[in-house]
Amino acid sequence: MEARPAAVQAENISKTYNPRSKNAVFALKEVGFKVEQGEIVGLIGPNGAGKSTLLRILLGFLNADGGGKVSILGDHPESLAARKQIGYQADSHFRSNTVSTRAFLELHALLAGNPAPKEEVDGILKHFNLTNAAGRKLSALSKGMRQKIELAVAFVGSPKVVFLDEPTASMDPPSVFELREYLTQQKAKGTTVFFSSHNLTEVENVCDRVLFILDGSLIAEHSLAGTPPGFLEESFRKHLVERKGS
Amino acid sequence: MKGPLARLYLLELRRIWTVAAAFIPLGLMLLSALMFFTTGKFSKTYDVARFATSINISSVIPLASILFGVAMIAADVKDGWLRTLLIRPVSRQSYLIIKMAAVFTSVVFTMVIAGILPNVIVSLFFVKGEVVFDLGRVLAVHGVFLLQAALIISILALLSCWLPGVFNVVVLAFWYICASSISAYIQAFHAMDKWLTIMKDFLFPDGFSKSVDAINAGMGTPVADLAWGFGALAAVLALAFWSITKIQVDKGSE
Repeated sequence: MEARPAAVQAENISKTYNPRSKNAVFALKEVGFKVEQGEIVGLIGPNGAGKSTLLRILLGFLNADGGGKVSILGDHPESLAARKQIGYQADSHFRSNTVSTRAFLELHALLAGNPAPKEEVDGILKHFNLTNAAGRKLSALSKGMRQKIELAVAFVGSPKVVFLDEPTASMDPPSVFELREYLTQQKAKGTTVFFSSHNLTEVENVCDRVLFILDGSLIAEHSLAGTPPGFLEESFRKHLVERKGS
Repeated sequence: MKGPLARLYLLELRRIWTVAAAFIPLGLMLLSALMFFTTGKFSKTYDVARFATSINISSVIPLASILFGVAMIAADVKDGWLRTLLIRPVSRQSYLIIKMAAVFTSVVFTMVIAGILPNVIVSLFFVKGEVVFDLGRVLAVHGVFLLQAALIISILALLSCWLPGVFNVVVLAFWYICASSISAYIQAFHAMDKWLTIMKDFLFPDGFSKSVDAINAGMGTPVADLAWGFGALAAVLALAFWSITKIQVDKGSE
């Protein structure tokens, strides 16, 4: 029997901004990891550690330096085959004074392959408590609301692999609880979720596994099964101290 | 229109047609109506095709193309629209076609409002002299206008793959000025040099403009000029389609 491809596989990913300049920034250094299908994996690290850069390379939005390789369910992230399986919550908070929330979500559902998206969009709007915002233009919504819409977009089309970039950054506590519940439901359905976050409690509550990134390098990886509350914070501090010491 | 790409096209049109954008055809219509009216009032002969040419080629098409198409790709990279779109199974080429189609539709609409309607109204009601209306020639020049619009939009698409915002227009203007100067120099001193003439035609692709001039001069179908125009259009489109596959959707942040 053929082995299932990993949901996400990254090998030897490096990224240097302004490589020919004196001020070259080494954002990622030989990062490699694997996320199996159905896992929820968190990526944590301080500001500027390389989380967003890594996420964007995984999605094919940003080119890694030569030699690195990324695959999503065995395909190149920019291939249409991979795109059919991916959901992404951007941190761009796209604004438009001509596009409504419903039109935006319906477009994503159509592009994801649902020819009659109304029902799916109604369900998602209801689940994320966005029904009142359905007819409003994206530019008229608050930052937190736009983030919820981006989050809703990530799950439109029932993707197999979902990437979330700081999903709870601008959210109020009730929305964070809703997201936690939603991710648990998605996990039960077998959806793979890979998300970057600063919110250690959230990561601890939701993830099966966590990757620590610091100064562009993956420095540790922990399974969270059976760990006591506060484990992540303690580990995070420990890794920071170790890094400073070295 | 129901398919996903058709819906995307409609959404792109909706994004172009903000309230402010409605002033583009209206403003250009006022400008061209004034010019048509002034010309019609004092000319002994009012040639519909020639006046259409003078307004559309020199102002309506370039201005509408630039106003609707400037930074068409760069703006989508900047505001995150391209990222949110390309996460779906939409090829970059399809995106480019839809984007250019939406801009092209807007330019054609503007051409109808600002370049055709005032011309028709003035020729019907305000001309004191003789009106020359050669339907074949009128249709032919308007057909070439559409090609000219496609060419300018393709150039803008190509530039906006690599340059941000208003730089597109600056580069386009600089290119035009340089090409005109070199073109004038070549015409003055090296008119007989075949290769320099070919180079001139590609410096600023003016095959379609020259085609319109030939049609208006009654020289029949300007096959050679049209061939230059189509050659330039194909070359620019090929470069634009190559560029869209090469650009980074996200510039990243350090």
